[in-house]
Amino acid sequence: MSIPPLLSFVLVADHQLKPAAVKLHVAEDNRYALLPLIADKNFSALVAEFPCLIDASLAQGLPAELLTALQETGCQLILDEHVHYSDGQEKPVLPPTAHWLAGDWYLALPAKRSASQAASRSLSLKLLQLVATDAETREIEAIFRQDPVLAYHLLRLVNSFGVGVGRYISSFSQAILILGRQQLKRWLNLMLFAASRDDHRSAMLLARVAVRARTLELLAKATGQDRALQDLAFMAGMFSLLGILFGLPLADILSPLKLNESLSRAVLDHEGVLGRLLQAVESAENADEATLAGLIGDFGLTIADYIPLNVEAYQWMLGVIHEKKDAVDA
Amino acid sequence: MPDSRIERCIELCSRARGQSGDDLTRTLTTLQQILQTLQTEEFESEEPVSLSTAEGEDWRHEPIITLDMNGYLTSWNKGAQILFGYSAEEAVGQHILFLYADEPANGRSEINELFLDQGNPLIEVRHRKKSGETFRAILSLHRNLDDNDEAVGMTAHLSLIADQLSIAEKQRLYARLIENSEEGILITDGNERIVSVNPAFTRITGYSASEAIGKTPDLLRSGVHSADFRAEVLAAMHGAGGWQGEIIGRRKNGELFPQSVSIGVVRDRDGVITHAFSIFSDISVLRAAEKRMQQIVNYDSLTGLPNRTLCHQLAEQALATARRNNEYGALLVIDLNRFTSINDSLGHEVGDELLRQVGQRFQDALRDDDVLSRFGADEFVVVLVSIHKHEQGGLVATKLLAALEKPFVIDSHALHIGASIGIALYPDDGLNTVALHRFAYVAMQRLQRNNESGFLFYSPDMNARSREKWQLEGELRRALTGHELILHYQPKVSLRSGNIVGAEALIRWMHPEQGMIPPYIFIPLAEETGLILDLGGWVLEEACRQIRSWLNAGLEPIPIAVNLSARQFNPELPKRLLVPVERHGVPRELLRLEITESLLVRGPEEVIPIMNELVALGFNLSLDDFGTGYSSLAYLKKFPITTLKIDRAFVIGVPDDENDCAIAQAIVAMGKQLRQEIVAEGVETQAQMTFLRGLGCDQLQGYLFSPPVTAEAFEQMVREGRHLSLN
Repeated sequence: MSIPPLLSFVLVADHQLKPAAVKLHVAEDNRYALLPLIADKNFSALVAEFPCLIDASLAQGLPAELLTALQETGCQLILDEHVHYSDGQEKPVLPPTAHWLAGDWYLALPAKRSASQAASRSLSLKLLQLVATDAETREIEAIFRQDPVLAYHLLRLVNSFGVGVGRYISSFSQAILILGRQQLKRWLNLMLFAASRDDHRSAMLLARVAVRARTLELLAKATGQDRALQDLAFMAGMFSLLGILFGLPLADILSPLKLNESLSRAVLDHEGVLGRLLQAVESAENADEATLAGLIGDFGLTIADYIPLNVEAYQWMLGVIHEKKDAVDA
Repeated sequence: MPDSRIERCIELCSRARGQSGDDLTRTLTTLQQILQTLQTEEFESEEPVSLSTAEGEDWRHEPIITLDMNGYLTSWNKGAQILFGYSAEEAVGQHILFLYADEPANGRSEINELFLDQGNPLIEVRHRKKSGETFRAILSLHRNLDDNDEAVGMTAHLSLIADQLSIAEKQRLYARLIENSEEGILITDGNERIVSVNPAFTRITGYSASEAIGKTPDLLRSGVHSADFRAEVLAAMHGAGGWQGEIIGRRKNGELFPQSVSIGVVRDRDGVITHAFSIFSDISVLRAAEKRMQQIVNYDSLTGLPNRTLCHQLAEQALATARRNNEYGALLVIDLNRFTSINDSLGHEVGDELLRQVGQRFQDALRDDDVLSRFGADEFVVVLVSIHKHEQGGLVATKLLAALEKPFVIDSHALHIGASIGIALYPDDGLNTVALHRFAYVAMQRLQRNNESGFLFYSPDMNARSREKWQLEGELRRALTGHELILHYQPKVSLRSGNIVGAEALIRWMHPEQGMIPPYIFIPLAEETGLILDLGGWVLEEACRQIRSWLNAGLEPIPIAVNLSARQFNPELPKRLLVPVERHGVPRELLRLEITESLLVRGPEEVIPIMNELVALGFNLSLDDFGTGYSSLAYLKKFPITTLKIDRAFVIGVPDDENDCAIAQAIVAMGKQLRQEIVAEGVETQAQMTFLRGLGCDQLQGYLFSPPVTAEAFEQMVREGRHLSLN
């Protein structure tokens, strides 16, 4: 079976700058090989839940059979002018003709550095409920997996209390157990009070963080790494974007956290197994097929293995968005 | 002392003049709070916590602290220094939580911190001074805004208070917590009428608030519980004490569902119960998987042991393994003496309870690998698998008889009961379960004819030889101090990459005369004699030494798992564990701890705190022999474990045996739901591997890849990058 080209997704926003759809991007060669991946039920589930867009320029270059298959799955054809691009620092405004906003505007450093990014208020509330009802550690951990700001501050707090010689934090559940329920509850109270307004990038950036973290975790699993390393992979994906989120150098942000060494080497220097996996995910985000294929090839994987992971990660991200929304509605 | 608060009041008044709307309300609330504390003091005409006036003018300083938006202290005034005893250098940079004191476990104060919400900047907290002394205070928080009206930090004013009664804000937050809770909540009044339910209640049960209010909780009654059980629940609602457990409820649409429920009561000032509340969550999803497993496996309903059908099945599998590995097996038939007369004279209920207790004692006396079952009436059958020497059968029989020695206390009776045990050996006496059972039965009858307790082999020459093995115990003590014990390592392989991802360290005894003695001979002996603690300590020390030596030699770091016995698992374990780990400088993620399911019977309240402590120290826990019977899903969720190992008993039958396949499938499905890593043990064939890989197992361990090998051989495998071919 021939290896398909990289099928990647570009997250696009709506007028309110919230994640609203993905735009397909397909590398040039051998596009027929994508057919079995499109037939996959996870792919159609993603399309069913979240608009998947094909712009006219891409449509022109696709083999007719592939284009038909994509449309049958539910992908939408759109005109190029429906998508507005922005890479700038300032808050983007969509022209009336555009429906979607693409570009890396939300990865640009904010013009004014926000000293503290707001943790999701709805998730903080939900956490407070869980803690108040003495929920199990794994349920609490699941919330931290959804919000990088909460996760970051948890680790920083645990470290500020001194975690002891020879001990490194290597999972959220470990941090939760060290902190204890009572302190966790007090801390959440404070976070709720301090919560400031989101900056305009938050919604898109957090969606991007969710996809990256989950993809990295699934990739670690697919390459046969054990559960402990999968947890670290998730954290690496999540923390690798903290610099952009906070608008500060990543090394400065991570220095108060006593992170597991393989985790900090991966995030800061792209070294070690985790570092290579992180590099792979980043190259996929940049649609750099050759680098991706090379990196995952070392672990015996191909692009055909990668695409479904990415699809699954997008589905997980949608779950995270919905959960946050549900918490607000409740 | 009150003066500082009066100053604060004056300041608040002048602030209020320039404010309106929410800000004004907030300021006035603060003002009111402080005035209340002053008033309280006046009544009691003494100060709840007083500062020494001997400290000159310093008492004039109101404690004021500033924080960044994440709660880390950025400044600390003289008042704070005097109050807490920490200097500014010590305090700045710390998180404010470091000033909080632990709440007394049963104190009412616990709830006082619960109500902070946006727009409500008052927190009533218990603080701790450097000296360790604690006091209560109102913490009044304000956001500090920059020129663009963005919050850049927070300022906290502290006012000392006497303990206060609840305040309106608390109620608001409680109401909100109840509304938003994922768990269903129902509140009844003193007449057991429902007075309030939350949205989750409606979501789970299907009854709206208006349908439920005014009814009794019998609305959800399923009718499947006994009168005793219902009385217990009712007693809890009448204030017998907090109750937690599982109840089967009925939804509006008639569907039954299992729920995990906590019940508590609220009393008024005079201790009279005014309300009772139940908090419950729907656990039908988890229970469905559990039930499936239970249905598949056939257990004796009285003792919970496998019944005849399952015993035959397990025994056949065991014999098949024994055949392949040229090992021995034994089947023991145990008949209780005088059981019928006890049953006749004291009644069936006493008889049933006796059987239950006997089953439990036998279970405790056996290894996890042994198959204990009840064939009916007073006949128990034990199948011993993979035994090294025939004499093991006699050793086990002796242990079982010893287990009966202590009297059984049932109602007011102290009952003594003996047993006749017949033993048949595989392959000498028979090649299949049916033949072995027949011969063991014959041996048992021979003994029973004389109505004496004891055991008898079917083949006469075995009876003499069994006694020799008692010297084993003394030799094991010698082995611990000598150099007769070693660790072997069995690799674990990823089912995704085929690479070695870890190893389990397994103890071996190199006996100077008898050669290698396998652990199933000496571990039970060690458990029985208490030597297991020394043995466990030796294993940890040796594993840590080996990990360090591999790290020094530049071998790729690979996690090594060691087994912890139930006897080792006590509150001192975390401390003891750290000794070898720190002595050898072993990174904690490289030492994995495996615990067996049998540990869990001791109850979650005993083992969970120990597990949590181990995880907080940075160790990973995995659950061995998963599926062999003890594990209750309700418990499993609460354990901070990351890995489940599917017992070889279920691996052996796949992919041909339908039951084993279904069990393996159920285990994997459950494990995934709980985000567990799943390792299959005892994988021997390509077909088993393919099947388990298809289910989504993460790793395998077994002869298919490698038996347990010496440290040198394992190191060699890792260096060569030995690999399991997955196709």
